[in-house]
Amino acid sequence: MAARVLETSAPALSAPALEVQRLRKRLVKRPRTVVLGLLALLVAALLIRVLLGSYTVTFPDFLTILQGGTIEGARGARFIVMEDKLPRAVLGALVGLAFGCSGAIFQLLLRNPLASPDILGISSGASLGAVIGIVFFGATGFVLSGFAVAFALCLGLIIMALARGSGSVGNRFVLMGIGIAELSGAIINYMLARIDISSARSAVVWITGSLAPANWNRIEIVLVILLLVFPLVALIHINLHAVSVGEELAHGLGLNVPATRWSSISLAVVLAAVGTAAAGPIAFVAFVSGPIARRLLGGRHSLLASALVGAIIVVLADFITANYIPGGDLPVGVLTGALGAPVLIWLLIQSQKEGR
Amino acid sequence: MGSSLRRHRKVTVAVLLLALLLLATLLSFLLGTRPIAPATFWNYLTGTDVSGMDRAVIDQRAVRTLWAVTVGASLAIAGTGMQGVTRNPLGDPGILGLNAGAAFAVVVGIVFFGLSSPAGFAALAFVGATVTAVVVYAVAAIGRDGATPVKLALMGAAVSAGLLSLTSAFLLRYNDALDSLRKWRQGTIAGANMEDYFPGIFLLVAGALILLLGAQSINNFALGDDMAASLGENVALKRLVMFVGIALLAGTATSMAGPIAFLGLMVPHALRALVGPDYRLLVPLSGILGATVLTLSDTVGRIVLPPEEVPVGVTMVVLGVPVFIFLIRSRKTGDL
Amino acid sequence: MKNAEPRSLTIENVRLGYGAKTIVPDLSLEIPAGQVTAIIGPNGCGKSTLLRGISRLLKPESGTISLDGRDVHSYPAKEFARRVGLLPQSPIAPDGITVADLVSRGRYPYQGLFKKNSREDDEAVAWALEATNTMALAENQVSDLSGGQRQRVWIAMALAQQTDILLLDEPTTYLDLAHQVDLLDLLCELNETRGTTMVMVLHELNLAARAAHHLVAMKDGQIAVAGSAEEVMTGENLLNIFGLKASVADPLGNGSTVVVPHSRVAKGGFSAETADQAMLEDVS
Repeated sequence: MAARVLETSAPALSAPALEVQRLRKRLVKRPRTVVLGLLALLVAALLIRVLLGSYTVTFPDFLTILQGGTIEGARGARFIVMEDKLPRAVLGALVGLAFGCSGAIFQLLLRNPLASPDILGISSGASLGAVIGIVFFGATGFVLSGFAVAFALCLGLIIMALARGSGSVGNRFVLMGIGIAELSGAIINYMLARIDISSARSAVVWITGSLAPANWNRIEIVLVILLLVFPLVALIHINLHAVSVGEELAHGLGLNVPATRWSSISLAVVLAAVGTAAAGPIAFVAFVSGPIARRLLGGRHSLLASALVGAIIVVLADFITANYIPGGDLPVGVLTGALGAPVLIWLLIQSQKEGR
Repeated sequence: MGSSLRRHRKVTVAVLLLALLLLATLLSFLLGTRPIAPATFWNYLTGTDVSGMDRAVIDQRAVRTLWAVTVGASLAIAGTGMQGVTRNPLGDPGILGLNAGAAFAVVVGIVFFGLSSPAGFAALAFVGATVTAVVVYAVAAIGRDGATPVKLALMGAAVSAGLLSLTSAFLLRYNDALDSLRKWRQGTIAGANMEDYFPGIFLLVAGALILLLGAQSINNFALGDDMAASLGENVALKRLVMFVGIALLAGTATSMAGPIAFLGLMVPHALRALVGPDYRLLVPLSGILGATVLTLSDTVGRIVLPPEEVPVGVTMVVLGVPVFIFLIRSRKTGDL
Repeated sequence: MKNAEPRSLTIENVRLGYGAKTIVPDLSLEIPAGQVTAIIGPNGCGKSTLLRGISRLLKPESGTISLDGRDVHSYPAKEFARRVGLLPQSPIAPDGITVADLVSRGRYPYQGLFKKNSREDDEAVAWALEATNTMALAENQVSDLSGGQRQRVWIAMALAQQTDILLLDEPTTYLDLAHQVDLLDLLCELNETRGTTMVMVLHELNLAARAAHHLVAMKDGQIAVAGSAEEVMTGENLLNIFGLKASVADPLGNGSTVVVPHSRVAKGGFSAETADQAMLEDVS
């Protein structure tokens, strides 16, 4: 250690600075461990989703299939893995990453545990787009996703435009978002009551959030968008954390607060919109990932950890709904919504016990 | 001096609101698929002779208007109470899970008990909303500091989302449930009749009385729990009582008209901009304004897309959201 | 640690306000470099608004505020933040943050996208923790600290920013008297050792007189009187600015003045002599 300090010609750190350095390294150690753990969990969840369930595949067989081979005596295996199980698992993970990250950005930026695309009108905007697509244009597949993304982005922009101005923009954003969510919800309910029952059914499936339409084309598109958006998130995330000390103080630190606010909101909206377009607004994932990640990290915010938590939730929830819930293929959003509530309640009780 | 001026303003606002309610009621009698001439309506009121057809239409509209006024006032008072008790301007019976609870109960009724009558829906909706309210409150009350505003709102959102998911699960498995629920869920008072009015109105009056009498306590809550306690409030008990009042109002109103969103959120916001934060004034005035808004929305829904009727739940939101946006924007700070 | 550079901060004919409401109609002021300036005045006189103007939180409707002869609004944000720091009134810490982490947030203006947590940052954070005597708390969560400790941590964060000028909006709010004295002594010490120019809004007149080289008394958005403690702290000025009937005494005879509000009982008012006597009796 001492030798290395000598090698670098800079003067050695003072004892207190070494202490600070030690603390700083320890501070990143827990997030690093947690993130690595979550990554491992995600891989495990993906494997569970693909290998286990109603049609089990052994790991060697899975590798063979991945490499393009076929399994003797099980001709269907290749189709089931490559066209159903694997794409659903991968799409679920991608969508979960998007939702988890989006929710965490909103919660960190708006300092409000209720802030998530579910509540702020982004998801209901996407749902409105999808229902309009289904009802008026008979849209399916990509066209349907296009409607959802376009509406989510438009409503996101409208909410942002409405929230602009002086004063506490964050609060106004929440209020406007709730207003827009109500508006979309009312229109959706109205249209649902007016269309034939099978369209209504497919609309409800879509609104609940389902991974059933997963296929490789869809994955490709989502993947490309996420690869464009996540680096931008990484770029702004240090500024986002700086804003969390309060807007005045952040301003005093030389941060362009409005620019940070709008760029992070835009990215969060895009993430939510892409996730929703691909699989519907899977209930609660964006809402609950942030608090779970913070709990694992001992109270700190982490976008990466939230994103991973989101992915794990979606993949596992899809595994359970597809295999263990009787009554046909229910959309995954049914389970995330039903399980999200107790999880949130549990988190709340836990934090009460600690007296925070 | 200054306060008398403000008092003057408050009286003006109150009188204007009453006038507006009167106007809305009148319009509700006159407008619809079959318009009624003002002269005919006057004859009806004075007991002079009116054709049988017109008489039937006016009779039906009288019932419907009564429902609109009752449901609107109840939801708005419930919303005002909710915002005061949870100290959260986003407080709305819908956000706190009551609508989701009502919808879930109705679906369970359809699926497991083969329910199909409106009266049955109403009873179950009431039970669902009240049980949800109790559960939300009980869970939020866990812990040292009791049911704080943030915890109530969080729990409401959590329970709400959970119930909606379960509701969807049933809807997707049972087509008949989807069919019944999607109609109920829009929120409408088109089928109003006097038989279904009576059990509900007693509960509504009880709930409204609780909030009207407790308005001073809500004012004290606004100062924070500690301050309210030091002013001599039994905070935990009073909050529970207020919550019961809110649940009675919102649950019953939802059972009568289906889940009508947004009214409870919007009305108190609008009034606060007009008369300030005193709940002794906000609670009664929100009743008047809520009744006006719902009656007007119902009337608009009758004439906007003839021959079809747009349910009041939909027109309410479509008309209300722009007003809401304008209100938020016109406030300088946009405080939550 | 690197010493602060003396920088001139000049306020010329500024008009500050919120929308249609003007708080400070026309104010000019020179902040003496390397000194401690305290802004005092009754509630609502525009003290905090002036501080918001200097820190660029509020853009003047007219007039200029210049740092080293250059309009503060023409500086790039981070460059300005390396020269002028701001500690707002009662800031709120992010959930679950530790002391060391919070203090290191003050290094933001020195960090770039690919340049973060250099050895200078560690040194600066360590120095700030040592200077505020909070090194022992470094691992604690900010939410677990007492009011006095928390305020020291916020000061440490502002110190880690290593600015030449530090603006503080009522840094002693919610602290008991001993902690108030303690905190202001800490700031004075930093001013002496590092030469940091301090501008703070203070409510407590006795402490302001004790800490500041330069007092600026404001009333109705204007400067009522500015100068040394002896010049500003007179019974006449207090009556004029606060509408407060009070005498100014020097009970210990060492130049540390005390404001003594006149007794409610003795209508004639306290003279400096009687205040002196009362104080001495108290001591003995």
